[in-house]
Order: sequence, then C-alpha cells, then structure tokens
Amino acid sequence: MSIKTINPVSIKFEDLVSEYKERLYWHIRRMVISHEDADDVLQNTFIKVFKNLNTFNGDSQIYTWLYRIATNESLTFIKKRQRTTHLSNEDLQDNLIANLSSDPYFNGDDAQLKLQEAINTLPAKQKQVFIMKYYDELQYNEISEILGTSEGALKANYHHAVKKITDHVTGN
Amino acid sequence: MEIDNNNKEQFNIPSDYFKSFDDRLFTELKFQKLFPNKVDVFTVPKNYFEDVSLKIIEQNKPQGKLISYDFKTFAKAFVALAAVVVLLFYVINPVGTPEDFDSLSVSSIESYLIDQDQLPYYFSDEDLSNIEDNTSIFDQQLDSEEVIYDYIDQDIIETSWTADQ
Repeated sequence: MSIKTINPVSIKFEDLVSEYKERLYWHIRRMVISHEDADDVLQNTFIKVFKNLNTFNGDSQIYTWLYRIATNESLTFIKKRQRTTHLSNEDLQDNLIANLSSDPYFNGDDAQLKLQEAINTLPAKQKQVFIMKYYDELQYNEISEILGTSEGALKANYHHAVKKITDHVTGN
Repeated sequence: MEIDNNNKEQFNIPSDYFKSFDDRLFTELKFQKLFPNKVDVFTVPKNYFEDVSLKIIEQNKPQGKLISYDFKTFAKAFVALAAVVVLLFYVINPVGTPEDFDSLSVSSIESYLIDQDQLPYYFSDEDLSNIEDNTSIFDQQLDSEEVIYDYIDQDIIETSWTADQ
C-alpha cells in the first residue's frame, strides 16, 4: 500500500523519512544551492514534520504537506541567511553562484552554471514555481495545493520565469 | 477569468488565450533549445542519504520529559490524597456511633456498678436502701432468667450452689 493512501493516524515517522528524504532534499537543494545548507534545511524540515505529525488530518496528500513544510523551511532559511550576512539578495545570490563553480558537489558545465545563475536572479515565488515545475515535475494542481496559489497564477509565474531565464542566459 | 461568449464552440476559453499562446510557446521552445536535457548538476557526499536518515530518526527520538514540580500543585495533590486515605479509613473501619446514655440498658449499668463494687461510691446508704425497697428481681419487666442472675452477686450463687451440694 502506498504511503500516500495510509490513514493519517497510522503514519510512521520513520516511513516518511525513508520514502521522502531524497525528494525533499533535491527540492530544498535547488532552492538553497549548497549541500551543507540543504542538509540543515532537510533536518529542520523533518523536525517540523515530527513535531506536527499528529496535526496532519489527511485533508491533503501527505507529500503535499511535506513539500509545503520543506518549501517554507527553505524560504525561512534564505531570508535568515540574507539577514545574517547583511547582503542584498542580489549580492547574496552572486556569492552563491561564484562559490558554486568551485563547489565539490556541483558537476555542471558552463551552460548549467549560467542556468543556475539565471534561476537565482528570479524572485522567490517565481523561483519556487520554476523549480517545482521544471525540476520536481509537479503538476500545476499539485503546486497550487502546496503554495496556495491558483493554477492560472502559477502558469503565468512559470512562463515569466522561463522568459527571464532565457533572456538572462542569452544576454537579452 | 473572462470567458469568450462569441465562441460558437461548446467549450469556453480565456479571452486572451490565443494572443498569449505564441509568446508562451516560443519562450518555451527557446528555453528547450538552450537546455535540451534536464541535467542533475548537484551531487551529494557518498552514503549521504543513508547517514542522514539515521541522523534524522535519532534526532527525533522521543525523549523523557522533564516534569517540573509546582509546589502548589504538589501540595493540593498531597491534601487530596490524605483526604482520600482518611475517607477510606472511615469506610473500612467505621467508628461506632456513640450510644446514647438512654440506650444503655439498666441492667448494663447495674451490672457494671455491681461488678466494679462501685455502688457504694455513687449511692448513699439511704439511696441504696431505697433501691432495695423499690426494685425487685421479680419485677414484671424482667422476664429473663439471665437478667435475674445479673442482679445476684456471682459469689452468692456459687456459695448457694456449694451449700446445696
């Protein structure tokens, strides 16, 4: 039986960790870029999951609920990082991308580095939508449930994100 | 979402759908041309997911809760417990209700006084004499041999019994 259909009362925390840690990790990693930061956020996410598991009442799919927590934790982390470094969002992103080329856990070529640079210039919401649609391959109705945004707004957001990325990479 | 009511088709569409379609399509095609394959550019340390799994589960193991004792709460609990114990004591081992003096039978009082040789201390000679005159072991109210014998000094009975032998 898929964990998605299990009665909320019988969900075991260990099963959630086992089934969803990788999916959540990659979702977080693409938001925060560095492995160390993604590791921190992933653990914070599961701490939150553990503390709130008894409040999950099955009104959404379990992975939707998990994604929501992971997304919020990622955004909280990014905001906190910005506050503690006293850098503007733009400067912060520039630093992250500059570090990425020498990051041992990044194996992309110049084109991929350019793509990551472009993604990190996007506003937070657009970046979220792009990552969830392009990398996580979620459907619009799933993203809508996670972010609480209408599908129409999400489609518009995704389109604008793709346009900005393309323009940034091509130098337009 | 505006609906195009001029459309003769059975289904409706957003009013500017086709206007924005070209833009959306060509943007997507351009992007696909730049990045034809989705590439996973991020990697993780060896055995990361196995290790992090154990770490997460260990971190979130239920810990023993430290219960802080509030003196007021503790005192209330102690008093409540003491009250229960006292109540139980009385339920299990009820104290007999004190008897009214009136409920004591005359025979009981007299027996006590006679047995304890207390009569002379409570009654004057005149009173004792009156008692003798006014009471009788053959009183009609006394219809039990046991009651009669209660009046007679046990020594007298034994003496008479011996004499008869």
